[in-house]
Amino acid sequence: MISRYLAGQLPANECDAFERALSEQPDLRDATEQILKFKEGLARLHERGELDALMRSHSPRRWLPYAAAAALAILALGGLLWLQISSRAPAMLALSPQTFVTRGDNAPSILGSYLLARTRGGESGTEVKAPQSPGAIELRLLPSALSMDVHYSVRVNRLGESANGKIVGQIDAGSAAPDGYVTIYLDAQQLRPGDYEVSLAPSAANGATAAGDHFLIRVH
Amino acid sequence: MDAQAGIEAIDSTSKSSGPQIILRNMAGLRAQLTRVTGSTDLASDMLQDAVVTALQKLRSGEINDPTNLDGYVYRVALNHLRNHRRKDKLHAGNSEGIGDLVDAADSSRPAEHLEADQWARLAKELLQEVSPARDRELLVRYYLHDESKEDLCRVFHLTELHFNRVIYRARDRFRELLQSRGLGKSDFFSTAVILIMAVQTLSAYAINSN
Repeated sequence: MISRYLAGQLPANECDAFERALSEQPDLRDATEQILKFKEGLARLHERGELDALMRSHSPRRWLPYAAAAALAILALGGLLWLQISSRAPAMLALSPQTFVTRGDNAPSILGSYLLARTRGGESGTEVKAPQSPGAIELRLLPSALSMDVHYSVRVNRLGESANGKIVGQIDAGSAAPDGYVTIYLDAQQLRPGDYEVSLAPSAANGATAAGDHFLIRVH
Repeated sequence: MDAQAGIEAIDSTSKSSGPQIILRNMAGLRAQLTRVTGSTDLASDMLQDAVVTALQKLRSGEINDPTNLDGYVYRVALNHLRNHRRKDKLHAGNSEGIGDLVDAADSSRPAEHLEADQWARLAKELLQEVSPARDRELLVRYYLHDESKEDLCRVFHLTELHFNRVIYRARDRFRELLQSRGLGKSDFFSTAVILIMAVQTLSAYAINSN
C-alpha cells in the first residue's frame, strides 16, 4: 500500500484513505519512513554506480553456516555412534565359533564342548575349566520339551553380582538340530571364573509361554 | 504525549514565541523531497508549507487533537512528495530519472548526507543478503524504479504471495538493520528550525490578519 501510494499507483479514493490513516497512525508513518529511507539508500547506491554490481554479485551463502552446523552435528553423531560401537563389548555368545575370529586370526579352536541337559539328579552344575587361550567353548543344550518347530533363545547370566545375576549374553539360537540339541558357543576370552546360569527358552517370537530350562555352569 | 509523535505541540499561550514544535522521524521523507525537487531549499519549503498548513488546520479546529499534528504534517508533506514525483514522471516520461536527480546542494548538508549514506550502506547490506539475484532485481525495480507489483509478478513469473513474501522479508530486514544501527528514528535539528520558522511565520500571519 505504502509503496503503491508513493509510486502514484493507488486510485484516488484509496489515496485519501491512506493519507487519513497516515495522519492518525504513528506506526504507518514509521513504516513509510522506513520505505523512504530504503528508497533513498537505493537511490544513493544507484548514483554511486554500485547498484549494478550488487545486482550481479552472488549473495554470500547464508546457508553456509547452517550447512557447517549440520556437518558438525553429523560428525558429532557419527563420532558418538563410532564410540558406542567401538566401546561395545564383543558378543559373548554366538551360533558359530567363526564369530569370535578376530581380524588376521585363523578359525578359533574349540577349547571344550559341554552337554547341558536336565537330569534327575538335580542342579549340581557343569564344571567348565577356565580357558587359558583364545577360542570357543561349545555348549550343547537339550531342551526338556523338545519341539522342532520352536525357536529357542539362550541367555547367560553371571551369578553372584546381583539377585538375578548379570546378563552377559543373549542370543536367538534358532531351532534345535535334528539330534535335538541347541548348540551355541561362548567366547573363551570373555569367560571369567564364576558361576553362570544358562537359560534355554522358546523365544518370545513364538508366543510360547512355556517355562525354559536352566543350567548351571561353574567356570574355575 | 505520545513518545513517537513527530511533533510535540505545546500551545504555550504563556510564551510570546507561540507554539514550540519539534519534528522527529521525517528524515526519509525529507531526503526524498530533496531528491525529487533536486534542492534542499525547496524540500525545506515543502516541509515548512506542510507545517503551516497543519497549524492553520489546528487553529481553524479541523485538527481536534494537537498530538495528531505531526501526523497531519507528515501527511501533507508526503502528499507534496507524491505530487512532485507524479509531475516529475509526466515530464520525464519514465521513472529512471528519479535516481539521476542529483541534489543541487550536495555538499551543503553534510549531516543529512551522512545519514543517507548510512541508509545506502544498510540497503547495500540488505541486497548482499538477498538471494537469488532475481529477488534483488525485484526489490530495486519495485522500490527504486516504482514498477508495479502486477508488472513485476508477470515479468518474474511470480505469484502475488511470493512477491509479497520477498517484499515483506526485505522490509523486515531493513527495519532490523535500521534499529540495530540506531537509525530507526531520526531527529533533525534542522527540521525543528524549519518548524520554528514556520510557527513564527504563522504568528506573523495571525498578527497581520488581526
